[in-house]
Amino acid sequence: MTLSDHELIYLYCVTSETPDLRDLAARVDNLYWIAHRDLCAVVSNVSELEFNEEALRQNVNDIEWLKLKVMLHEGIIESVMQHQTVVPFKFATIFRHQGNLTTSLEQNYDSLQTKLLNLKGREEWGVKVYCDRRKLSAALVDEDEPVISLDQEIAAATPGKAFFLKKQREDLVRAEAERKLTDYSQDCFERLSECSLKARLNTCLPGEVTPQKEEMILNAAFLIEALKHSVLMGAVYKLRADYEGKGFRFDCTGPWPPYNFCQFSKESMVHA
Amino acid sequence: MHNQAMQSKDVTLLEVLDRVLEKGVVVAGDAVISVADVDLIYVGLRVLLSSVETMERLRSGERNAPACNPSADG
Repeated sequence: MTLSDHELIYLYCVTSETPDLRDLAARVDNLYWIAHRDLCAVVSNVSELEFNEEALRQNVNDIEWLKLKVMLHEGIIESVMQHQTVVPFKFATIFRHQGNLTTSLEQNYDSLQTKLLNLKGREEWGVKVYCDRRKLSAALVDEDEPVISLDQEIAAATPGKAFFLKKQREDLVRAEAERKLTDYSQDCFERLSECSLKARLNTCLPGEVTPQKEEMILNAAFLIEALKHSVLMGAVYKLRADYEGKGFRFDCTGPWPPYNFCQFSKESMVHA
Repeated sequence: MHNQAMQSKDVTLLEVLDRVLEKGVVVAGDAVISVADVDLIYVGLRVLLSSVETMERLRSGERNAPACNPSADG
């Protein structure tokens, strides 16, 4: 496909086999693939007016625009990965000319080949864990040794002493809840890691952007054998049984394009 | 259309943003344009999310059919 003067090339993903884009062609304009040696880059021509540096900076602040483009990016890669192993690229990876793209593919050829080989027959799943701290603190009353013994002390104390002990109890519950939160989320991550090939721990998203009222306490991604997600699901069910009473909630999604398992190491990342 | 994966998830915009903005292969260089400051997008999102109306809009953008979401079936 020819690139007109005011068009740029948007790169979605790289595959090792010819991608079948027929289903997508009806939904996405100017979608095609560029072959380089035995790699295929799934790309589309996009308007420079919409995707040049300045426009991109402006447009990402427009939630409706962002939603549309981000879902399109995801939809295209998900459709391609129905039939092929993909190495997904970051949102809005744009090249000025086809020559720049093929140069980049050539310079990163070995890394891309290795990634495609390592990701073959595997898929990414995501687990996010949320915690309602009030429920966690409430659960401590029944099972946390330091809190139980302080409660007994309060029950036996004179009213004056009980007043001070109750103040002390607030701090103790907060500290114990914090400690348990760390222990429990670590246990969750370890148990999920055990049934996956690779695991990644990501930064928890701040409460202001998550629709859930609980706090996000674990944001992890796991690479597993394709179609074996029931093993990971089983682990999630067990964790839920163990931790639901403590205010934990589990969100498991997949299969995702392997966004978390395709980073190039710094040394091998070559500038185009 | 063979897009079971797209339909098998109860996916919010945020789930997708969390991946496509920060993860995925990054190539850099003069010839490449990319979203540099992801934090700025989250700042923008936070401002927008402070209004209930936007929250509703985001929720209506969720995809359905949570067949593979264990938190949604019990």
